[in-house]
Amino acid sequence: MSEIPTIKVENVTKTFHLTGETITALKDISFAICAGEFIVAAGPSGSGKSTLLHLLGALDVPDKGKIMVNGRDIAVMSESLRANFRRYEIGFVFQTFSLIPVLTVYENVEYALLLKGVPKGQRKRMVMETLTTVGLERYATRYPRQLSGGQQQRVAVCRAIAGQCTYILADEPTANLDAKNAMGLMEIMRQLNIERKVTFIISSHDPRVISKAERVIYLEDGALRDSTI
Amino acid sequence: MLILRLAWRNVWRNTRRLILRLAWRNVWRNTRRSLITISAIAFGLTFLIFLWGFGDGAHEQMVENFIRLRIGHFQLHAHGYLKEEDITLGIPKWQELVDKLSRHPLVEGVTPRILGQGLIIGPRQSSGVILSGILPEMEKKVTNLSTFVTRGQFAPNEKVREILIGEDLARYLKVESGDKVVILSQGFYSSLESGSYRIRGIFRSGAPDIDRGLIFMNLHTLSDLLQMPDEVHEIAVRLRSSADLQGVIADEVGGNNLEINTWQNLAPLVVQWIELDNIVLYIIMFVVTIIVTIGITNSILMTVYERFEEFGVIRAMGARRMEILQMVLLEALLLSIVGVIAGVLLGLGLDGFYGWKGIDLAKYSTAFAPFYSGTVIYNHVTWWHVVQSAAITLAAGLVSSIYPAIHAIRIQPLEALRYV
Repeated sequence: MSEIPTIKVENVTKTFHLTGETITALKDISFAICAGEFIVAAGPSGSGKSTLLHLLGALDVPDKGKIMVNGRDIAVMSESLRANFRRYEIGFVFQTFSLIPVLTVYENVEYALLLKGVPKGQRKRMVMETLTTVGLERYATRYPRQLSGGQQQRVAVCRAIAGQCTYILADEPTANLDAKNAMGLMEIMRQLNIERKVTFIISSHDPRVISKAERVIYLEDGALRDSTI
Repeated sequence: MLILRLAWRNVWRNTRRLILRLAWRNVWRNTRRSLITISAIAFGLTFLIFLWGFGDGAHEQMVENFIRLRIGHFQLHAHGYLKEEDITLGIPKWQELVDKLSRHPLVEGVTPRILGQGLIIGPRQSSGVILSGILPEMEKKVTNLSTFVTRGQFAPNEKVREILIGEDLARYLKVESGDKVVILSQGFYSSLESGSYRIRGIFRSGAPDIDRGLIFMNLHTLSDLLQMPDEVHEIAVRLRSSADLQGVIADEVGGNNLEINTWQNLAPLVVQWIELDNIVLYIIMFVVTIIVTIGITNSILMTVYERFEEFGVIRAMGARRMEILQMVLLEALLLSIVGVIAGVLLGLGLDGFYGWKGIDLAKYSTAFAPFYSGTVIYNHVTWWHVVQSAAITLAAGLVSSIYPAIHAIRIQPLEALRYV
């Protein structure tokens, strides 16, 4: 893990307007993340974990504040630049796996590489390498519906990591998994974090997930309560 | 051309095999819905191709029958004859011209004719008619007159004064084959000429003006009646193919000081009818295309709504709006291609069947008679109309996906992820 922060969240506030009511999802939060960290954003439901991940993943923009990633403020980027940022630098893992049902395991991972413009020969090598890392190389030709929830989420991790992204954002990745699969997934992510030096930012309120974190950013009612190592 | 080639290469480069595979599998994601959409495209196109087959077949028969009925592919007259109908405006040295034209490899038949106007007098009635002097053996190679004879015989003999008259005229005059009639006419030298003639045969062409107003006799017989010098009024030429029309005219008759009229000039009504008919077919094509377009739009829109989350995930992964657009358009294109292939095959199959069996419209024959198409229509679609219908249906498939594609590209990844 490097000591130089690559992500700086500075005084970020995000509000939502729902049927005449204004909800402040994040209140003036600031923190920094160094390259290669394995972080869990923890907190109860509605604490702003997912909103934070959406902002870090350039899926949304803050109302106030800056989100500096490698020196660039992604909060002021145009939509196409944010799309490029997501394409080349961020990998997402969603709670519901969100694999493309008509593509095989191999093709789901390959699709992410295709979006990045990786040449065909290289794609094949990278997909198989990543699938091997998570122990799914035997399932390459299967469709998502032929896999268990845990296996599907491992494919989603593969898809996120295959393109050699710098950051992986995982929004409640274990929420739909049983304890065994959840811990298995956490181990795989931690292993990838160590081996590939990829920064993981995971949102979760599961104590078992939190226990695996290198650092915990604890949110409550949109405010940063604690950041522990 | 270069720009098109570059654009195509660019599209192909961006449309990787995986994207194609993804689009193809998405097409079959909801098999029943895709099959219904493909059926809508296929049946719409089948209907169009069948309709064009019917129209083209009817038009072809109409032209062929009209050419076979009397006029040939083109006719030659002395200048001013058609306008004045003056029997003194004949074609001299016609034998040489007929021989020359007959030798042309693209000419199927040539027939000279003498024409006049007269009065035919039966036992109880009389009627004004056009007299047409023909050489039966040469006429057979140009028109179907010999096959129209329903009673008596064809080939009016030059030695005996014999004529052929139409069924309608025979009914009006109350005469039958074998009866005698008198014909009065103004001769070449303006004298009043007359003669008694035996009816050799009665014909039915299906064209009311011919069956009621035209009588045929041997060219020499009429020449004698009218006291004609060695001239004819009309030379009708039948070609092996309509496509050779201008070539033969340029080769053989360009240098003669004669009025040349193609079948299009001689039968403007047929040409106008075909044009009008084609306009009606284009309107039907437009309506069918609109219906197909609405059907496909609905289907693809449902697909887009069903995959709301998926589009959101793909956008979250960094897919650009253009890539989403490309994906939806590609799916619509594949769906349309399958529908178009099925439609073309079904349409051609149907045209092939009705081209062989024919569609009997005998019940409506009186309505068709003035247009010479006959009562049994044999479908025969032209390739141009198949290509045109297929291209328009394909384009409709693409156009119909634009609205759903716009919906897809407007999906905000965050909104889609919250939707889960």
